[in-house]
Amino acid sequence: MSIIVNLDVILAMRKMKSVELAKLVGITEQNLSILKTGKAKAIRISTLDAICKHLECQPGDILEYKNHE
Amino acid sequence: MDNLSKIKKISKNFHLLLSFLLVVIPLYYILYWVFINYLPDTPITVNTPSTPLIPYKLPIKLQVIGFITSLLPLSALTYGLLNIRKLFSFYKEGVIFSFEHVSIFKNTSKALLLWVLLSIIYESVKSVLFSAGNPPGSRVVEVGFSSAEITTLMVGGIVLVIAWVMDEGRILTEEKELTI
Repeated sequence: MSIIVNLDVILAMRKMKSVELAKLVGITEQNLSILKTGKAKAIRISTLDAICKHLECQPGDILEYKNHE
Repeated sequence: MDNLSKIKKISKNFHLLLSFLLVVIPLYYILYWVFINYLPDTPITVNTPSTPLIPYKLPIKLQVIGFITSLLPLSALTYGLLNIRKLFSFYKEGVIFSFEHVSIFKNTSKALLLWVLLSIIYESVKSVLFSAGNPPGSRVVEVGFSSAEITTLMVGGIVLVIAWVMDEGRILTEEKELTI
């Protein structure tokens, strides 16, 4: 897929653990892991909103488009 | 009681029923061919003497041939029943959509179509065996295709369409599971 999830990078920059973010956002650690590994098929606006709120970032900081052609 | 609980409860009963049928149906076929010479034409007769199913005693060799032929539709039927039982074992655990469900529906459809075809062959062989003792000129081969076969074929076709619908359901479920 051409969309890359940079959640790991932002988490490291904010020095926040996945468990903590999962709790703050209100999703399971397993689901956060699916999102981080790029296995997710879709992301809810509400989830993205909560992630951006707690990581104090923009959606573009988390999601990046890379053309693999 | 919510829908899923109802599905689980009823599926448990169907699973039991199908397990019972999987034992009883093959047993019926065995007993039918073992006691073929003693079976009446109609199971219950009132005020009239019962006539035997076949006019003469079937030799053991023909009984064996009859039983072996009966294994054709029986195998298709057993295969179908095993698939449906597997389906209900998933339902009783609360698993509604999975890739396995799609293949179960497809296999059930194939089993039904095969059962119709093999039943026609079986009934034709039966007609030959039952009239084998008749004098020359009175022996018959019957090839039947009745409304029962048409109904089964239609059910088989409908089950195949359901299998495709189930596949779409599975894709939607997978998408839902991977939506964060």
